[in-house]
Formats: sequence, structure tokens, C-alpha cells
Amino acid sequence: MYFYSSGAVEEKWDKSYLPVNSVIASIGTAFGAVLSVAVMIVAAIVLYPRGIKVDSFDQMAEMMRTPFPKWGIALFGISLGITCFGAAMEIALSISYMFGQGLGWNSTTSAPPVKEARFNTVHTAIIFAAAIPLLLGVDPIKVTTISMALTAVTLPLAIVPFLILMNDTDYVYEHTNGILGNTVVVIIMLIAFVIAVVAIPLQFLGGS
Amino acid sequence: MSTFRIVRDVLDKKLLDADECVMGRVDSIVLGYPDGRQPRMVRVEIGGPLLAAHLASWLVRPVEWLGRNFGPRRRVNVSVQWSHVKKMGRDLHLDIRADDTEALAWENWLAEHVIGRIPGSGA
Repeated sequence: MYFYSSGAVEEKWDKSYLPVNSVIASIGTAFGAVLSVAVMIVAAIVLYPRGIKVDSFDQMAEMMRTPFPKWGIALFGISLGITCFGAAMEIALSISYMFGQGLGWNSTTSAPPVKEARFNTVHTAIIFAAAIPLLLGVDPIKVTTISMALTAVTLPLAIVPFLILMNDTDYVYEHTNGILGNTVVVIIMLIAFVIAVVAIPLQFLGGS
Repeated sequence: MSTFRIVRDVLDKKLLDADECVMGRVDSIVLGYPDGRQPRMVRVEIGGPLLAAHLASWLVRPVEWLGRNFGPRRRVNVSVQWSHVKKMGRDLHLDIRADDTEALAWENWLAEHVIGRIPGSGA
């Protein structure tokens, strides 16, 4: 969210970008949802009958080896690399934007790094800091699942201020959310929050 | 008479210098009471201790101490006279240059000592 909105600030979007962004947001979210469901279905079809309970990345590669016996492992490795790299870059930039926008620093990716030293120092430091838990031997799958649950638990903290702004005519004029939009956002937020609240104790108790 | 709300329209707003360079966000607003007349805006301020005061009063002293002993600024907080505010809106536009204040002291220190030494930084 911070990453996306920082793009809006950096590229100086105006009102004319609203329709195209509605389309991008809808297609992007739908695409992500379809992919997530597809992964769950393939995992259930491939892993469950074999009695495999995933606790490492190489077991996950089995999902790809069944439909693609020859290239499955390579494809899994490539897709894992691309998605991890993309996510790492996005999160590091999101945190840098959060500091930059929040504290009022010069923060764009279009200027030379030396011109925005504080922004780029945070960006660099985050990448190194993120590597520390893995170097200490923390299980990456556990980190991923717990951080996803924590993200969902903290979702109301991130979404409620946006919800207020999205309904404030001083900020968005006539483009405020409708009743349907507000209701859907609140319901999704609550569902994610409740699932995460249940999931976090299960993570620590060793459930899945 | 045009009016504005001090907290909503000034506090936390970005300060842009005459070249549109971001100087920081308004952490504090100072009002004056000239000779018992109506209060008036005197200056806005940027600074770690002022921002810390938004979070918790016990944070102010340690942040001030850190800024005084390890920070690159001669004064921990940066003041901008209200007369330099030329336009208000989503941001506050000033008629001064950031380099004439110490607002970018940390930016410049990091540029010189950290980021500028990394190849490809554009230094």
C-alpha cells in the first residue's frame, strides 16, 4: 500500500489516473487471488495424497515436478528466485518510503542515491537487517507464515486511517468510497484479522 | 478574511524550499503574544526531540542528548520563521533555500560519509 501510494507521489499522478488505477487494482488483486487459490489447489492435489507436510522449500518443488517432470525443479527455483527478489525489493522500498514520506525526506528512486542519502541509507540498512535472522538460522517458511499472520493482525491499524481518508471529502472530493466499497473493505479486514488472531497461536504451538 | 486550522493545515505538513526540495515535516508550531495582543504565528520547527515529544515526554531528553552529542546540526531543532511561508496547501511552500538552514544536515552528512562512498551513488 505504501509502495503503491509512493509511486503515485513520485510520478505525480492526478485525477486522470483514477480510472486506470481502478482497473489495475482490480485486475492485480484478482490475479493475485487466483494465483493463491491455484497454488492451494495444486498443493492439495499433489502433496496431500503423498502425505507430504511442507516444512522446507524443496518439498514445495514437488508441486511443480508432477505437472512438469523434467523442468519442474528448475521452474520452481526460477519462480522462487524471482518472487523472493521482487518481494524483498518491494518491502525494502516500502519501508524506505514509509520513513521518507513519514518524516519528510527527499525520497524518490529517480534521483541519484547521493541526493537522497537518508532514503537510500534506510533502503540499504533494511536489506542487511533482513538478512540477519536468516544468517542466524531462522526457518524462512516459519518467518513467512508468521509475518503474513502479523501483517493481517495489524491490518486494521493500516487500513482504518486509509478508510477515514477515503471518506474525507476534503482530501478526495467527490471520489469518496461508496457504502458497498466501505462494507467490503471492513469485512475483508475483519476476516483477515480474525484468521490471523487464530493462526498466530497455532504457529507457536506447532500447528499449521 | 482567509482562515486555516493550525493543527490540520500546518502541523506535520511537508516544508518545501524555494527549489521544491523537501526540508522535513513541521514538528512544532510556535505562537507569540506581542504586548498582550492576539497571539500570532511566529515560526515552525523541525527536530527529533520535538517529534519525540509527540510520542512520549520521556523520549525528549535522550533524543536531545543524542542530537547534541552525535548529530551534525549545531542546534538540535531547525526553526523557520512564519514569514517565509509563501503558500499553504498540501505542503507548505517557503521562499528560502534548504541549504541556508540546517534542515538537511543529516542528509548531507550521510551523503558525504556513507552513500557518497558507495560506487554508483552519483557522488
